[in-house]
Amino acid sequence: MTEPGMTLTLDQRTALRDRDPAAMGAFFEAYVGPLYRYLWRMVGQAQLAEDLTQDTFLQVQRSLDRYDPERPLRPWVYTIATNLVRDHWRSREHQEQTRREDWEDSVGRDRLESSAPGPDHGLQTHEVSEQVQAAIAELPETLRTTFVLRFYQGLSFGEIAELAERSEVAVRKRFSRALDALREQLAHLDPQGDGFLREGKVR
Amino acid sequence: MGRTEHPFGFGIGPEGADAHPDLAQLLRQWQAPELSSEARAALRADFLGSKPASDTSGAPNTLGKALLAWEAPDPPAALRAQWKAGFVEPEAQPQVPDAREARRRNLRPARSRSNARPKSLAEARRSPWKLWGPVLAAAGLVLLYWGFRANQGQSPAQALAQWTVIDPAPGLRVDGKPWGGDARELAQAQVLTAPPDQSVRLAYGRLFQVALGPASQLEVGGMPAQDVPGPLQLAMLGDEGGCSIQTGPDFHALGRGMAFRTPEVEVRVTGTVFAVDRYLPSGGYPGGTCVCCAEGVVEVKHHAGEVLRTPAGDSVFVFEGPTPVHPQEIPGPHRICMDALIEADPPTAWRP
Repeated sequence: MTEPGMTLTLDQRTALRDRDPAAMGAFFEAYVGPLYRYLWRMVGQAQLAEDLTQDTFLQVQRSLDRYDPERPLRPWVYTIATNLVRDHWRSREHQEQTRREDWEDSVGRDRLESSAPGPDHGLQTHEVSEQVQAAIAELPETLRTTFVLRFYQGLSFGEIAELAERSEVAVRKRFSRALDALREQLAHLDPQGDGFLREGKVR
Repeated sequence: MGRTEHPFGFGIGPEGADAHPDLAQLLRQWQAPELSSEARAALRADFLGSKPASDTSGAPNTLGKALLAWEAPDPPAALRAQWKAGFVEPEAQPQVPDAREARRRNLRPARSRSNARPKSLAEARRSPWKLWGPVLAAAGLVLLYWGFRANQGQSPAQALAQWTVIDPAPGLRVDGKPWGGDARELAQAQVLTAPPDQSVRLAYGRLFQVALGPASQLEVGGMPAQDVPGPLQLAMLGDEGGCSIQTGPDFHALGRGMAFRTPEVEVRVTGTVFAVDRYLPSGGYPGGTCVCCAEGVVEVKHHAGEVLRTPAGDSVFVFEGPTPVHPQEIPGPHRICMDALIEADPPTAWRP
C-alpha cells in the first residue's frame, strides 16, 4: 500500500533541479502515481485530484530553481501538494459546497440512520471502503494529512515533520490522535476489539 | 557496593538507593518483563523507519484490513501522458495554468461580484445603510479616535497595535493598495483584503491573530487606546468572506473584549477562538453569516435583536431574512480553519 520507488539519487535530483529532461521524466514517472493517489485520498474526488495533480507538477516546475538537491525530495514535493490541498479546503467554493452538503445531510439523516447496517451485518468491501473514507474525511486537516502521509504514502515521521514544520514528537502525537479518532469512528468494524489499531501495531 | 550506572545515566551511589541496602534490593528485584519479539520488531522498524506504516503482515483483523481496503485509483492514462508532456517539455505544450478555474467555470456559472448573478430579493431589500453603515460607523470611530489621540499629543500610529503578516500571500491588499511582499510589519493597516485564491494569516500585536479567507476583507475600525472605552471593533466588509480569529496574550489586559460585525450579526467576544463567515444566497439558500466557536464563548446578537450564547463546539447561521437563526454543527471547513489557527505556531510577538 505504501508508495515504493520514489527515491531519486543525488545526481538525479541535481539534474532535476537543472531541468534535465531525463531527470524530469524519471521524477514524473516516480511521483505521478503516488501524488495522484495522495491527492485523491485527501480530497475524495477524482476530477479535483486530477486538477491538483496537474497543479502540483506545474508548481514543482516553477519552483525547481529553489530546490536544493542536497535535501530530500519527497517532503519538498509533498509540501507543495499539501499546500495546494489546503488552499482548496480554504477556498470559498469548497466551503459553499460543504455547506450545501451539510444541509442535504441534515435533511436525509433520519433515513440514513434507519438503514445503516449494524455490526452483525456482513459488509461488502466497497461499503467498508466508503466508511473508511468517510472516517478519514472527518479527521481535522492536520490529523488527516499526517495519517494519509504516514499510513498510505509511507512517509517517515521525520519527513512529515519536515514538511509540516513541526517536531517529530508532535507529528507522532498527531498520528496517535488520528488513530484514536479512527478507532472510535470505525469501532463497529472491529467488534472484538482485537484489531491491530487497538494493539498499536500500526505506527 | 560501588557506584552503579543506571542504564539511563542516573548514578546510584551512596547518596541514593545504596544508602539503604534493603531499598536497593527491592528496586533491583522489580524486573520489567521482556518485550515480546513481535513488539520489539515493530518498535525497531518504527524507530529505524524501515517498516512501511501499512505493513500489516501477521495482523489479520477487520479494522486493519478495512483501512487497507481503501485503495486509491491510478491516474487516468490519457491525463498522465498529457501531464508528463507538459512537465518535461513545457514549451512544446500549450500550458493550461488555470485548469481548475477553467473547469470550475464549465461546471458552474461564474459568480463575479459585479453582474454574473441577478440580485436576490433579499439583496434587493438590503438597505445601502445596512452595507455601508458599519463602514461609516467604523470610519467615524477612527476619526473620533484620531482626534482624541491628537489632543493627547500622541500620534495614532503610536497607540495602534502593529500588524504582522505571518503567513504571507502575494496579492494581499492593505488599505486598498497591493502589499509590498518584503514588509511583514504593517504599522497602520485598517482594511486588509486577502487575495482571491489564498488565505493569509496576520497578527494584530499581541491582541489577536486572524486567518483571513480568500477574497475576504477585514476592517479594524479604530483600535481604542487604553483610555478610550469600548470594545475592539472589527468588521467583515464586502458581500462574502470569512475569517478565523484567536485572541492573544494581551487581549484580556485590554479589558474591553471585541465586537465583530457583519450586516446580520454582532459577535461579542471575550477571549476565544472563533470564525465568522459571510455568504451570499446560493443554491436556493438565503445568504447570511455563520458564526462558529472553537474555544471559549461568543455571544451572537443578530439583526432581530436576540442574543445567542454560543459556547465552544457550537455554531449558528444567521440568515438575512425574517427567520434568522439556524443552529448547526460547526461546518467542517470552518473547523479546519479554526484548528489550523490553534495548531499554528503562535506569532513571534506572542512568545514570552
